[in-house]
Amino acid sequence: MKGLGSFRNGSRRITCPLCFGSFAGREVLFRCQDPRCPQKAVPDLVYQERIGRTAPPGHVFGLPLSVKGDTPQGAPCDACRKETRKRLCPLCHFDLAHDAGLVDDRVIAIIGGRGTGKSHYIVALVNRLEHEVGRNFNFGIHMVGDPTRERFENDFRAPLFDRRTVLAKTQSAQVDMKVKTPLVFRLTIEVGGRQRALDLSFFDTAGEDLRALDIMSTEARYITSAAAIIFLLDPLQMKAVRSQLPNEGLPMHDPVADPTNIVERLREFFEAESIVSPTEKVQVPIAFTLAKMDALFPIIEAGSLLRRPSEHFGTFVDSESLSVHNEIRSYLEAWAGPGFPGRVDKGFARYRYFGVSSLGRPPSPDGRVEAVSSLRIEEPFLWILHELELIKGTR
Amino acid sequence: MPFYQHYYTSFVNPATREGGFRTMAESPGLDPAAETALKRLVAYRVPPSCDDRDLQGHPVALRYMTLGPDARVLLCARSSGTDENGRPGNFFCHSLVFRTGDLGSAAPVDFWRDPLWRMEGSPGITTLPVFPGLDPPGASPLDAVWQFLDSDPRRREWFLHLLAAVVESSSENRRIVILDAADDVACWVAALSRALPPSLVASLTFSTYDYDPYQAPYLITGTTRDSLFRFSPLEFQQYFLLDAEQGRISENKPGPYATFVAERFTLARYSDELQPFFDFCGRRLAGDAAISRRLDTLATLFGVLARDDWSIVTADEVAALRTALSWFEATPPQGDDDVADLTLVVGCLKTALAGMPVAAHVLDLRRALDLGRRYDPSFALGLHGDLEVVAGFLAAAHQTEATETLTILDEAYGAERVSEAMSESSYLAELAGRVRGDTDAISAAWGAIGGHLRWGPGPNPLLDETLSALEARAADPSQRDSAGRLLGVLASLRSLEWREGLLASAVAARAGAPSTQPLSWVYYALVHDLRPAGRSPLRSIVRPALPEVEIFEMEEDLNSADLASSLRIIREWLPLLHGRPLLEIAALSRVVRALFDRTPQSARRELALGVLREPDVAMCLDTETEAALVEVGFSRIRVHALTEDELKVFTRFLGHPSLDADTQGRMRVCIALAKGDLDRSSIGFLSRRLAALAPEEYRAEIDLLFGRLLPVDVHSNVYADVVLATYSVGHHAAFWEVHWRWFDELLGGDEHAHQAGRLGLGRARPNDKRIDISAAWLVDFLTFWFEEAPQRLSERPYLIQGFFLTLPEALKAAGQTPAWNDLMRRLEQQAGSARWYPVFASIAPRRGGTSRLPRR
Repeated sequence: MKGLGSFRNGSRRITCPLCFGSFAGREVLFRCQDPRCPQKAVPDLVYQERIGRTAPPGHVFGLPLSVKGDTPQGAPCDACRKETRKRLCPLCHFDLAHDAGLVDDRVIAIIGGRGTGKSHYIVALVNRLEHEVGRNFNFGIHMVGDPTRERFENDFRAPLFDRRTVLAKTQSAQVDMKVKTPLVFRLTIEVGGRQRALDLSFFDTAGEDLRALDIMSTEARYITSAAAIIFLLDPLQMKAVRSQLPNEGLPMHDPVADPTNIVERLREFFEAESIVSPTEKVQVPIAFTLAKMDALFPIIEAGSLLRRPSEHFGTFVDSESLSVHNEIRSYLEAWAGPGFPGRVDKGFARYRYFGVSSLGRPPSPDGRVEAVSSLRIEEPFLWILHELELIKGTR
Repeated sequence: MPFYQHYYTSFVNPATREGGFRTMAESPGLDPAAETALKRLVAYRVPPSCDDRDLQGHPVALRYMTLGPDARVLLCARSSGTDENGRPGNFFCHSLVFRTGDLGSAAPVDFWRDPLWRMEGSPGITTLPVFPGLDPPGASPLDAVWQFLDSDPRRREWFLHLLAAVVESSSENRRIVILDAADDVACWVAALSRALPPSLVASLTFSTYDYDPYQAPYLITGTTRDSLFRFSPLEFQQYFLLDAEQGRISENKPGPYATFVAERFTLARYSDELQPFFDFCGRRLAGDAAISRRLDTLATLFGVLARDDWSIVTADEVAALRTALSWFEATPPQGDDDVADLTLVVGCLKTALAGMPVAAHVLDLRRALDLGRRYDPSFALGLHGDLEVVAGFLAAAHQTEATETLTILDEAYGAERVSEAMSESSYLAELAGRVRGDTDAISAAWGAIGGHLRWGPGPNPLLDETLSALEARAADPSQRDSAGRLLGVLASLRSLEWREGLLASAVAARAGAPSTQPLSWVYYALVHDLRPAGRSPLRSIVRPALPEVEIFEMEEDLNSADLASSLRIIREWLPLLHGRPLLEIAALSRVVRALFDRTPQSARRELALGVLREPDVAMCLDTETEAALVEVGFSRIRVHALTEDELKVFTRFLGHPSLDADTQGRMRVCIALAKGDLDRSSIGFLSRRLAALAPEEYRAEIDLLFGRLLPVDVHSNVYADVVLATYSVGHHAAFWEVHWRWFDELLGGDEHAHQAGRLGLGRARPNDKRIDISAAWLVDFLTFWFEEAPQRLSERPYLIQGFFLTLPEALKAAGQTPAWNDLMRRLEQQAGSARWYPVFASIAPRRGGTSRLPRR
């Protein structure tokens, strides 16, 4: 299985989770953290220029040529000789995870229009993976690094599960650099009696950053580096759906968030970034996922699979997923127009439709979330793991 | 002074129905680059622990930042509840973009909670007016600051450290994070803003609240406990952190600026003490808007300039003064206040240098004088003060620095003025007082300023001190070196006119003094490099005080002379002493004895003979000195051939009463050897002396005498004298061995042998002439022995017998000569008729034939 056998290989190339530059392990730089370092006052101009934010304190240095070997975990500062383990991308000076280059990693982009519920999807997915799905599939998942832990706790888990409120809007990466950094989760899977590890980097995107190609190219470049994409579609922005539901509780209509527009923009983005030619299909697995399914219960079939939890117990049941796919596809033909599935099919080679509900029910008008009872939320993720040959599947 | 407005929030554009975070409205003309930059500053997150709905409880973020070299942004971001979809996290940010300086005297933080800030916009309005200016903030910010600082006893101490952190932030690359209520953060910023010179307040960037201080670019960032900032122990070192909630603060060491300002940062002292300081800073910062450690320098500088006593300054203060010079060099003073600052700096530096002379500061003085000369109208009055710097260096015996300083003063004020000022009694008195008792310092003083001094009729306190010091040193043997060095310095001062001036002053100064020694030393130091005759003008100045100055001079001259030049010196002095016989004899004898006493034993004989060889000198010596020289000069003299000079002196002193008989005998022999003959008395002496020698010594000595006294053409009388003088019965065998060797060598040799004192029969085929000459010589030789010896040599018993007993053996050896037979034939031709010939023929050998010559 690709990606599960070669970790702890110091000579592998590392991809920066921020700038997506690729470099050899030996090329990493280090940031001295000793407050007494004589070079501490030298500003990190690379960081300021490439990332556009204030650099963390500390002198940046590289390994001398005399140091042999693979990806070093630490190095003595060339100014004060104090050992540091703070490793940086040599291209943008972004902090690398302590084990970058040692563990295989995959970028999974969670994208979608504004207000689609991307942040809610992430927190609900992680919660579900931690508590049920992991046990079923015999894999563990945990957060990697303090930035992920703190951000996930402060921005995702605590508001939803402790304070029981809807999550705050994700701010544009144009104003909040943090949005450009991934939430990194480590998946540990037992394969053939041996533990294997894989880091999954989730990028939560502000819907605002998908509203124009130029913004995508500066603030959401990770999409082009993604191993897979979970593309959340807000059915409540589809006119056909809105017309069938009572106005009360519906979000305001946002033409930019219309799924049709966003899917077309994504396709254009791959072309604009020269990932595919106009005649090629995008090869990255994409889970086109209808969010907020609970709000659609009044207008979907009573016996629909979408009303029931998924049944992937220890193996990805492809037939169930295909049933969902077909059902969603037919709904999309009705709601988004008959041309929508066709356009998807022409633009993307590996895709499937899903329907999920992150919260299980709409929040109260004042933003309270009484209980989180996610529905089918893990299914797109399991399909991606299956597509990436990380878990087994059955037909 | 345009103030461009900008609104940013999440809203639904009524025209497009598009929603989300974006620019809601802005003033026309807002620079797009500035807009892009300001967007990085607008992000606002409600602290996670806050109730989303309690908007009043959400911290307000007033932020101030630079957007470029000339653009500034002041913005107010605050929570605005939910977005159009009911999601929390929306905020409204009202920004003002303006040029540096457009806020006038107001500090950015003065606009905290100002009514100008809008909390919402109108979605349909996308264009905002450009403000031509801002209304001044309402209440006096300082009143709130005093109240804030005094309401918690810890805040004064925190303020000191925060201010220090602000000053050192650029050099330490250490940003400041304050965990406190946003209102209190604003108060901290207000206090710090009022603790800076107004021109720097524009550089104090801040945010009263930020959820992610790691990314915040401000110098000061306020935050909350539940923000992303961790406040870890390491971060307490990497950042400067004030956790006001828990009363924790990072460590730092407040520098001069923070200490100075914090101490005076009260309502009572602000106007009177800090305002003048800030004005001073404003003048000196002159366009430099960066907050840096330069403020520490300014505080140090202001502190020292404001002090009454500048005589003692710290190294930091000197550094600050030096830095101030650099500022004035880079930016000439503008206006009276600047000139006043400069005058203070220059004056302080000079006073400080006078009290703390350090070599490195000489350059500072040059810079200070250069600036003073250019900009200080009262500069010319500073010379006397500047000479204090010279005195300061000299008091520490730093001659080089003092000399360099004088050079600088010469350049600044003109050499004439400097000499004049230095020659004033008041300055010399002060200088004398500072170098008193320290010979090294006095030496340095003469070395540095001696050449500049002008001599007048008045007293010279430095000279008085010098003479006193010399007198004191003379009494202490351990101090003589330093006294010598001092005299050496005086000796290096060249001008004759100057020396005359000094000597006249010295004579006047020592009038009536019990000791004339110091005057003698000074005099000699000044004249020692002149020839004795050339010293007359200077000598005449001191003669009234030093009647026998010549003796002293001559002694001193000889003191430093080697043996060879001693005699030359004595010769030079003789003409100067003529006409003063008593002085002449006394002086010469004294100096010669002194010279003799300090000459090593091994060289004394040479010295004695050297002196005795000088008839002019010798005749001026007293009897005692002469006797001593004669005794040493001729003691244990070897018998040797004298040079012409030696012959004269030997002849002159032969018979001197201080010589014993033995020495006189040797002298006679030497004289005889030199003259080539022996007088009767010498023969007897020599015979007795040789007879008493050991065999080897005897053999060596008569070998010398034969060689020197018996050339080939020696007269038979001389031959007889030498034989008489050298023969000793006791050394019979040795005598004849030497004699016959002389005979053999005389006969031998080649055609050049004659010039070497030989006859030249040694070569294989000598010519007939040489054989004839040799035969004639042999005839004379044999005639002497057969005919004259019995009368001439009878007084030496067994001498003649010895000759004839050894003759056959000697002839036998000589018979080996290649031309022997020819020689014998010639001899027969020349002396065949002599009475002694048959006797000789009977014993003379023949080469290759019978052993006898044919009988006639």
